[in-house]
Amino acid sequence: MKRILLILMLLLAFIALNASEWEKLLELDTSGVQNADLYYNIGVGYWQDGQSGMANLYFLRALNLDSNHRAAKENLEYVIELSPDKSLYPQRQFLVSAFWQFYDFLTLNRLALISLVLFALFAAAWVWLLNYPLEKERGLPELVLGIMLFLFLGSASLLGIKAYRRAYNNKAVMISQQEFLRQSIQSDSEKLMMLHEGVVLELIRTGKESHLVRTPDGVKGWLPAASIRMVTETHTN
Amino acid sequence: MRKSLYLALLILSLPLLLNGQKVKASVNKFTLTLNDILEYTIEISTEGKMKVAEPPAPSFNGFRYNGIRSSHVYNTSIINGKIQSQNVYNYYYRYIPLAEGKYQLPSQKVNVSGKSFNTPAFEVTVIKGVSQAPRADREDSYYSPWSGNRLDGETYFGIESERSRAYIGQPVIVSYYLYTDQSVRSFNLEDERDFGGYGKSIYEQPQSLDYEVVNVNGRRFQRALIKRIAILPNQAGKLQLPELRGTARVFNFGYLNKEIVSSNKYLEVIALPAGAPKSFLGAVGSFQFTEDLNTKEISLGEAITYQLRISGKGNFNHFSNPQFATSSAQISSPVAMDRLNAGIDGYRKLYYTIIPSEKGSYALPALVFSWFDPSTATYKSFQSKPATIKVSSANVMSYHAGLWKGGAPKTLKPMRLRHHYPQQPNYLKSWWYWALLALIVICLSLAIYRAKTEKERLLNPAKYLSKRAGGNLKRYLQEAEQAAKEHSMDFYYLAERGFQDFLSEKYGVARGLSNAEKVEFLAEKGIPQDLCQKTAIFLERCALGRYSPEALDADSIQQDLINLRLLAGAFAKLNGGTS
Repeated sequence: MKRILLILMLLLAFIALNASEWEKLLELDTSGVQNADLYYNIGVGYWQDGQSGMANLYFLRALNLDSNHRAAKENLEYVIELSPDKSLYPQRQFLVSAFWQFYDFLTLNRLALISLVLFALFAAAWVWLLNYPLEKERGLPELVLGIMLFLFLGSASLLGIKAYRRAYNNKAVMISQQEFLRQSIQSDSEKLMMLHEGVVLELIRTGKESHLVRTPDGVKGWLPAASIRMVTETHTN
Repeated sequence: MRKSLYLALLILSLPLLLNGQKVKASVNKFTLTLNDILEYTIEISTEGKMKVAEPPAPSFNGFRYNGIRSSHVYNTSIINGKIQSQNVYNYYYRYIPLAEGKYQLPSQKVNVSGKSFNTPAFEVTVIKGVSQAPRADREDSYYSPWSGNRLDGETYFGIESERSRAYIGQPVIVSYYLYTDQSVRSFNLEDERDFGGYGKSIYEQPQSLDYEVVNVNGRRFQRALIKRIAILPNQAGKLQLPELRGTARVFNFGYLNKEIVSSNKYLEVIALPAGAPKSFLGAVGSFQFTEDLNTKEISLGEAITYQLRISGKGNFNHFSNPQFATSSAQISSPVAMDRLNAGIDGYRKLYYTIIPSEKGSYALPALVFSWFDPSTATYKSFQSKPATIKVSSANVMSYHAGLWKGGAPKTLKPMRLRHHYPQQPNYLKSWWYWALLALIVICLSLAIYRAKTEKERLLNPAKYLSKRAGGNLKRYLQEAEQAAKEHSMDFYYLAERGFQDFLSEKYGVARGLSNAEKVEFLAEKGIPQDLCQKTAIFLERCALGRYSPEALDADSIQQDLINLRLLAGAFAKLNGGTS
C-alpha cells in the first residue's frame, strides 16, 4: 500500500513539475473546453500549488459536468476534510447519503438516455394495451403501463431538475485565505463568523461588491465578491 | 561602560565626520519653454580627498532624460598657515520638457560615502514658447548611458552569487545581469551550459530588460537582470556555475547583434559534517515548523488528520517527508501541498491520515524531522508534541459511515493522464436525441390511431363503414367541386360516382339499381322522405348532365354543386357529423 502511495506521490511531483502541461490545461480551460477530466486535473494542479479554494472550485466544476466523477468527488471530500471549516458541513444520515450517491450516479447524460428508453417502453406498453385482445383480462398490460409511466415521469423529473441545477448551479467557493461573513452588505457590519479558503457556499444573491451566501451549516451572510468564485460563471439570481 | 564611551565618542565626532560634506541641487531655469533644456545640477563638495560615486539620474514627471555631464574641481588654499583642500563634484542632468504645465521636481536622496543627503524640491513651469523651431534632440554622448552612438561601448554578463561557499544541498541563488553602457534594446538568451555537480531551478526570469544604473569601478553602466537561478549543489568541491550565452541587440543607427557569454564563476561546496541524526533525510536549510491535529476525540473507525507545516528556505525538493513511527493505528503516507518559489523558498504542508484500530486512549507516536542548518553548521531536529486521542466505541452512525465510506479518500488522487480533452457531450443538446424522441412520439401516435381504428372496426363495424363512407363522400365532393370550378361537365360524373359509392358503403345500395330503386331502398332504410326526394332529383340531374350535357350550362353546374353540398350536409347530420 505504502509503495503504491509513494508511486502516486512521485507521479504527483512529476506532474507538478511539468509546467508546460499545466499551462496547456489552463489554456484549454480559458478556450472554453468543458471536460470533467480537464477540470479535475486543473483542480489537482491548484491543490499542488497550495490553492485549496481554486482546487475545490475546479473539483465542483468537474462534478457539475459529471456528477459521477469519482476522483473529483473524493478529492473534494479530502480537501474539505483538511479544511478548518470541516465542522460546518452537516453529517448526512445513511439513507440520505445513499440517495445522494444514487442521484450522483445518474449523470445528466445517463438520465437523458434512461428517460428516452423509459419513454419508448412506456409507448410500447401503451400500444400493447391498445392492441390487447378485447376478450382478455387487461390487468397485466395496465400494470406494466402504470409502472412505465411512473418510472418515465420520475426519470424525466430528475432529468429536468438535474439539467436546471447544472445550468443554474448556485454553488460558490471561497478563494481568499480567510474572510469574515458579515451580517449585512456594509463592510463594517457585524461579523458572523470567520470562513477559510475552500469552503463551499451557496450563492443566494449577487451584488457589485458583496454577495449574499449560505454556509454549509445554513448561516446566511455577506462576503466580498472578490473573495468567492462561482462554479458556473453565468449565474442568475 | 566601554560601550557607552564609544557611543559618546561617536556622537561627538559625528559633526566632524559630516563637516565638509555638502550636497546642493539647483536648476538652470524655473520657467522654460518647450524648446529649452532643463539642467538639474547636483553639487557634492567634500573637504579633503574622497571618492564620490555619481548619483543616479533622477526621474521627473513631464520630462525626458537627455543625458549627463559632470565636472570636478579640486581647490587647495592656505589660510593662517593651514592647508585646506576642497573637492567639488558637479553633475549636470539634462531633461527635455514634454508638455506645458507646472511640474514638481521632488527632493532627491544622494548618498555620499554611506551618508544620505536630501536635496530641496523645485517647482518648474513649462510654457509653449515664442517659436516652435525644431529642437535638436541630440543626446549628450559624453556620459549618457542611453546614448546610442557609442561604438566602443561595453556589454557583458555580470554574475552575482549569494555566497561563494555552500554546503551540499544548501540552496544558492545566482543572478546573471547584463551590464552595458551601450543602447541595448533587447537580449535573447540562447543557451545555458551546465557543468554538473548541482541541481538547479529558475528563481526569477524577467520578460523584459528593466535597467538600473550602477557604477562599476567608477564607470557608469546600466544593468538588467537576465536570470536568477537557484543552485542546489550535490557534490563537494569547486563547482563551476552555469554559463549563459545570448545575443544583445545594440542600437547604433540601426541594430547590431553582439554575442555575449558569461565568465567562469565557481562555487566552493563543502560536504555536510559527520554526526547526522538517524532521522536526517537530507534536508538542508533554515526551517520552521507548525503542527495541528484536527480533533482529539473520535469514534472507532473514524480518521484524524495531523498537519505539519515546514516553512523557510532550503532544499525542499531534495528530502523525503518524515514518517510517523510504527504504531497500532493505520497511518497514511503524507500528502504534500507546496507553496514554494523555485522549490527552495516558501512552505510545505504535510497531511497524515490516522485511523486508530482500538478504542481507548491512543498516543500519537512522535514525528521527528532533522535537518542541517548551514547558518550554524549544525544538525537540528524537530519533534512533534505528544498527543493523546480518545477513541470511543463505534456508534451505529459511525459504523454505517464507515461502511458507506469504505473507499473514503485518505490521500489526494493524482491527475488523470489524458492526451486530449474533448468537449463533454450533452445529450440534451444533441439533435439525435430529440430526433429519436420525435420518432417515438410519431410511432406512438400512428400506433394509437391504428389501434383505435381497428378497435372501432371490431366493436362497431356499421359505424366504421359509415365513417369510411363519409370520408369517401368528402373526397369525391372535393373532386366534384374542383370540376365545378372549372365549369367542367365531369362534375356530374364525379358527383354521381362519389354519391353512389357513399350510398353503397353506408346503406348497402347496390350499384346496378336504377335511380328509383335506389331511392326506394333508402326509404326502406329509414331515410326521411324529403331527403329521398332530393336524392332522386340530384341523381336525375347527374344522369342529365352525363347524357345530355348540351341541356345544361355553367350556372346549372353551380346550382347543382350547391344542391350536392346540401345533400351531403343532410346525410352528414344523419351520420352524426361525418362530413
